[in-house]
Amino acid sequence: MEDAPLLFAGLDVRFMVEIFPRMVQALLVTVQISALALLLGIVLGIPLGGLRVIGPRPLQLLIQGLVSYIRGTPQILHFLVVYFALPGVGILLDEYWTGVVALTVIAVGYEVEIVRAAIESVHKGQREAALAQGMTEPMAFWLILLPQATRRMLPALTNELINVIKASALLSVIAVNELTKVGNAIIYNTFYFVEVLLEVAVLYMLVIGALSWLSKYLENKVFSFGAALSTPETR
Amino acid sequence: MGEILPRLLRALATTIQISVLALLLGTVFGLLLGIARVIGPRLFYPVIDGYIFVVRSTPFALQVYAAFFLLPRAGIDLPLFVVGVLALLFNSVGYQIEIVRPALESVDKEQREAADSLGMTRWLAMWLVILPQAARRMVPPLTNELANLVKASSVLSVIAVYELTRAGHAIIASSYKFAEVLILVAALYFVTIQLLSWGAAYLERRIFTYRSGQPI
Amino acid sequence: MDGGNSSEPVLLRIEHLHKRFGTTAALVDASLTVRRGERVVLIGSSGSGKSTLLRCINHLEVPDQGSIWLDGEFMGGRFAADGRWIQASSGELARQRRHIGMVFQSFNLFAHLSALDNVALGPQWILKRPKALARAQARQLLAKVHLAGHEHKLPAQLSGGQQQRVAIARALAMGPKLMLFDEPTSALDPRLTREVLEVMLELAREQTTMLVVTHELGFARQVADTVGFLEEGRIVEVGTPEQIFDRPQHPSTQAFLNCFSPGGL
Repeated sequence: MEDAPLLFAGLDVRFMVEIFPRMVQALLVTVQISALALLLGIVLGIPLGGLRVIGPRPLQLLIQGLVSYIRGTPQILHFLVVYFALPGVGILLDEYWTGVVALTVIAVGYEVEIVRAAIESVHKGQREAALAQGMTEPMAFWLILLPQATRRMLPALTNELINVIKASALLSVIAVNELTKVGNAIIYNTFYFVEVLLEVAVLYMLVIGALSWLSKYLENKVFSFGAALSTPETR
Repeated sequence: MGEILPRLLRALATTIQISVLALLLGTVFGLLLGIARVIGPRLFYPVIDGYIFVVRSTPFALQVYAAFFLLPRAGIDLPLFVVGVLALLFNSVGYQIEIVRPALESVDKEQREAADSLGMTRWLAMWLVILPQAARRMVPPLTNELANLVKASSVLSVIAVYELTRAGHAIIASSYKFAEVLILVAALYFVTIQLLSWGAAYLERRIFTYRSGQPI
Repeated sequence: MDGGNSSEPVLLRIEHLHKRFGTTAALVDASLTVRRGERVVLIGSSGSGKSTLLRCINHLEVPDQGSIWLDGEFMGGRFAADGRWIQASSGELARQRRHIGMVFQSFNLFAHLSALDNVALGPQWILKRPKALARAQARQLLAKVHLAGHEHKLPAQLSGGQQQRVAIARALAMGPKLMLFDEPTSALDPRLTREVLEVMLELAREQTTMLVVTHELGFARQVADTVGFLEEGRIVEVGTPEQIFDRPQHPSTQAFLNCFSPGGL
């Protein structure tokens, strides 16, 4: 009696409810790992973005090249590079942290550009005024440019979080227990194809839909005064 | 390295084949749905918008797995190459609609009015007046879309479609020369995608600076 | 120029037309008739509703109230047997618009097509004429508007006056019963204005039924059988050019004309 499937539109709803806690747990891993990568990306992106604008010319070119490489090659390749190269140079990480590092590489590629665009959108008179007062370039960057640029970065960073969450699905390849991986594992064990895929897709759409709403809200309501910065959508 | 490169080049050819196929088929659907989204029955709008939302709010890897699991489940047994093209197509159409629609809407409304005043039906005006003017504006973003598809097609390696990433993976597994292989794979992707992005940027300049910056 | 022949049948009858844009009333209870072969010119200051009236006639703007009756047929819909108004489908509306030629202030030539293709497009695709015939007729029409030799130029390669003459030829190519001109020379300098007005004068001589919105009072006096003056969405005075220009009755008309010193073309 208890095992009789509860069907709705041909879907076994009881099964979908049963796996829901595991799904939510996997979603939390997805969000956690993505947020971690985004934050590490910011930590690296701010100095790199700053150097991209005010650093010495060779360094600017180097950072530009790094950004072009990260954005101009498939994301899955960054996973492979991190997965094979880190042990190659003696750094041994578990799957989770391998995933974090790979996602951070992806995030940095976009965040450098977000930081650069935000800083360039601050009126150049601000920098000149700071330099005229006797500040050094790094001081002008930290004290004057960055604080003004930060608010303008928020919508773009929200979009970048969406991109990182989508990219995190690729971690299923290296056996991190994030949402896509857990969904696949359940499918292989139970053969409930449609139910699992539907549930996974809906969970992604809830999180990503909410984030893109937030990003639009930040862009329209809070930042309507300045030029909106955007980051390209990746898949 | 001498024996690896030819194998990777053959796999790159597969990558390009898959991407071009998805782009071209995608343009057919993208145009139809994009036009329907602009002048079709209002009933279609939420359906098309919903489709775009699903495509953009789920990871492409999940879409690939879905195609891989669900097509055989529905009794449709296809070669992996075709499953890969279909998954890429499903994804690309969602983005191409959003290339077509703004291009159509960017044609001055006066052009529509002139067509209306001559007594053209909506669809005839679309075909004779709006689409020919919008088509040129779609070329640069569609070239860019091809670059995106080349990138995205790498995800098909997760269902063992033998494209560039999968081939690289396979060679690493058999030879352990991961550094050489990864450098070559990265270089091949990078060059292909850069060429396409430059092409898109060049076309953009050509089309939009044509005759004193008037976008025609 | 001979006066309007009041024995000709009515071609266009506009009755009690109302149109609002948001809170602004663009047209208030506008009524007007145009007889076959008649040349009617509407004058009035900017924003008085002249253009809106013209755009309502071929339903580029849908009026809120009132009826437009063209050659025995209601524009934009019809009354059912029980008196209900049935809105025309977009296809029916397209069919009705074929009988009304429209010339826009900003020309609105199809930017991707040559002058010849602009003119031939409608006859070929809407009237389903053979391509060769449509193109031959288009050549004749371009010659008629003094543009022989410019057939293969794109709109961007033509001057404003030339573009507007192509636009006139494009409208004529459909063989319309009525030609609407919506400030056809407002975007042109005086020399180009003259080119366009000359073509319109020739059309007037051929007894083309024309409804013209313009600020060219000299042209109005010379060509019109009937002049209408609009103010704040109302047609406040209608009469012959002599009545309107020499003996305006309404204070608004008098005030408006005092701002101009009309000269001949």
